[in-house]
Amino acid sequence: MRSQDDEGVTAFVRASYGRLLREAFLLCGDAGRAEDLVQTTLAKTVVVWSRLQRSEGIDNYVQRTLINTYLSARRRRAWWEQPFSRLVERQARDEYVGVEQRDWLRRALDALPARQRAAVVLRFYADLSEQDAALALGCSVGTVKSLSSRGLRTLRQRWVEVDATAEHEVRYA
Amino acid sequence: MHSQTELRDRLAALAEPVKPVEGYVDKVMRRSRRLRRRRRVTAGAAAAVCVAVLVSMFRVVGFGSAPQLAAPPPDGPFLGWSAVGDVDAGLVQEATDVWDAAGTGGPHTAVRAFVAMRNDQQLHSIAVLQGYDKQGAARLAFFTSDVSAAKALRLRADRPAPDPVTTQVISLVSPRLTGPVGAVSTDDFGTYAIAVAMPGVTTVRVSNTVIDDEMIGDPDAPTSRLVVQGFPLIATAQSTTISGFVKPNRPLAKMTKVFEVLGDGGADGDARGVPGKVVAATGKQIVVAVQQIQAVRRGQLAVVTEGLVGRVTTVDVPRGEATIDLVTSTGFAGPAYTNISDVPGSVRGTGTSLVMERMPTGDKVYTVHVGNRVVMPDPCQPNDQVGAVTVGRASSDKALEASSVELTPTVDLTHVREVSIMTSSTGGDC
Repeated sequence: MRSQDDEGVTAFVRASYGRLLREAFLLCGDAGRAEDLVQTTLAKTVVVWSRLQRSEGIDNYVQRTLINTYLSARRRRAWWEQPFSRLVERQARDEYVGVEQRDWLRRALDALPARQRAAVVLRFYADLSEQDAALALGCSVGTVKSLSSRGLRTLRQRWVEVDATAEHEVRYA
Repeated sequence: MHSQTELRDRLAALAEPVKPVEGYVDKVMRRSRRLRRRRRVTAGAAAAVCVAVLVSMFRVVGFGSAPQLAAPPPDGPFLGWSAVGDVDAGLVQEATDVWDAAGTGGPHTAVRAFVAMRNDQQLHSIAVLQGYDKQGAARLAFFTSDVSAAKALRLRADRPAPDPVTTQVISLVSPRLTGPVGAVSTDDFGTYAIAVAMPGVTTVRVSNTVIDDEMIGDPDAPTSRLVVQGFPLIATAQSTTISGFVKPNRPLAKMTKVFEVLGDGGADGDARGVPGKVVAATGKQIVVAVQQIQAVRRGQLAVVTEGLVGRVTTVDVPRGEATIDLVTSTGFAGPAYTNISDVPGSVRGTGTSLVMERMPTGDKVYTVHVGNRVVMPDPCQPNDQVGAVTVGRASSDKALEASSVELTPTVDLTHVREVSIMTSSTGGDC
C-alpha cells in the first residue's frame, strides 16, 4: 500500500513538475524562486497525499496550494527582493526583439500586485475558467474578473508606454 | 499587446524556456519528509501545551476530583477534633464547674473543649465540652449564657459523646438556650442552632424548613466550622438541616457538600423526637416501628423535616409499633394557624387533600394568600408557638368572605420512610 502510494506520488510529481514550474516562474519572475515555490507546493501535497485521494481533485489542491504559498510568501516580503518602483538607471535594450519582449513582459508582471499577477497567470497562462481561478485564489468569481481585468489594463498601459518610447527613440535616433 | 490571445502567447513564450533541473523528485520528497517531521514536532508541542494549559486550568479553576474529607483519628472515646478558634481557658473552667454542679455526673475529668468563646452577639458565651463523668462515660455538653442572670453560664444539654469515627457534626437546636435552664426564650426569634463541624469542613450551613428559602444560609458565605444561627420559635431540631461544605484550596473552586444531617435537640425541657421506621402504609395511615415506644402516646405528632406527617392514633407497646393517621386522612383534624399572620382556624383531612377551615369572618379581615404556611401546635410543647409544625401551604388565595382554604401538604406522604414522633421531654404524657 505504502509503495503504491510512493509510486503514485512520484508519478504525479514527474507529471506536474514542469507545468507548475512554468506557472511559478510567471508568478515569481525568477527560476530559482519558482523552483522553491513548486517544491514547497509539492511537498505540502505529498504530506497530505493519502487524504487527497479520498477527497477533492489533486490538481485543484495543488493549484490552490501554489497560489496560497506564493501569496503568503509575498505577504511576508522577506522572501522577496524589494523591487524599486522606478529604475534608477535606464535598462539596456536586448539585442533581439523576442528577448526584449520577454524581458518587457517579465518586468511588467513584476510590477503587478501579487493577486493581480496570480489572476493574470491563472486566467491567461494556466487557462483556468473564472470559477476555477476563483477556487484557486480563494475568492469570488467577481473578484477574479476584477483582478484579471485590472492586471490586463496595467499590462496594456505599459505596452503603450513602451511603444511610445520606442517610436520616440527611432524618431530621434 | 492588444488582445488576450497575444498575451497568452507571450506568457507561454516567457515560461517556455524554464526547464526542471535534474533530481527535482528527490528534492520534493526530502522536503516533504522535513515538512512532515516539522508538523509532527509542532503537533506534539501543541499537544503538550494544551495538556499543560488544561492541567493548570483544572488546578486553578477548581475542576477535578471532589475533595475528600479525612476524619481526624478518635481521641479514645472522644472526637479527636481540634477546637474552633481561640479557646477561652476561663470559660472552659467556668463551664466545667457548671457541668460538675449541674447533676449527678460530676466531677468531670479529662475535659476538652471544642468551643469556648465569649462575644457580644446572640448567645454571648458558648462552650462545647467533652469529658468523662464520674462513672467514666464519655459525655458531650453544651453551655450558653443566661441573659436573665447576668449572662451566667448554663448547662443546656448533656448527652453521651457521639461516635468518634463516623460523626461529622455535632449540634444543638433549641428554643431554650438564652434564659434559665428549661425556660423557653421570650424572643419570637429565640430558637438557636449551634453546630460544630469536623476539621476540614470550611463552611457549615444551617437551614430550616420553617422559614422561606431566601432566608436559608448561603453556603458560599464566609463562615467557619462553627455556626450559631437564630430561628423563629417554631423551629425545632426536626425541621433543621445542617450541611457541611468543603472548598478546595483553588481560587475558583466551588463548594462541595460533604454531609447533610438533621439537627440534634435535647436541651433540658425540649420535646424529644423519637425516631420511627415505616413498616406499613396505606393511603390513610402508616405504621411505624419505634424502639422507644414507651415515650409514645396517642395524639402526638409525627413529623419529618418538611413538616407534619400525621398524628398517632394507636400505640401497640408489645409490638413496638404506632399507627399514624396521615394529615390527608378523614380522621385527621386539629387546630392550626397561618405562620406570621396568625390567622386562626383548624385543619382537616378530606381523604385526598387538606383543608384549613373555621377561619374567622366578620369585621376584621383575615387574608390568606397562596403559598402561606399553615402550622399546627405541638401538644408536647409548652405553647402554640414553640415547635409548631408546618402542615401545609395555601393552594390559593382565600376569598374575603370565605372561612376555608385548601392546603397542599408540605410532606410527600407517599414517600415517607422514617418519622420523628414528638414526645414530652420527660418521656411521659404531654
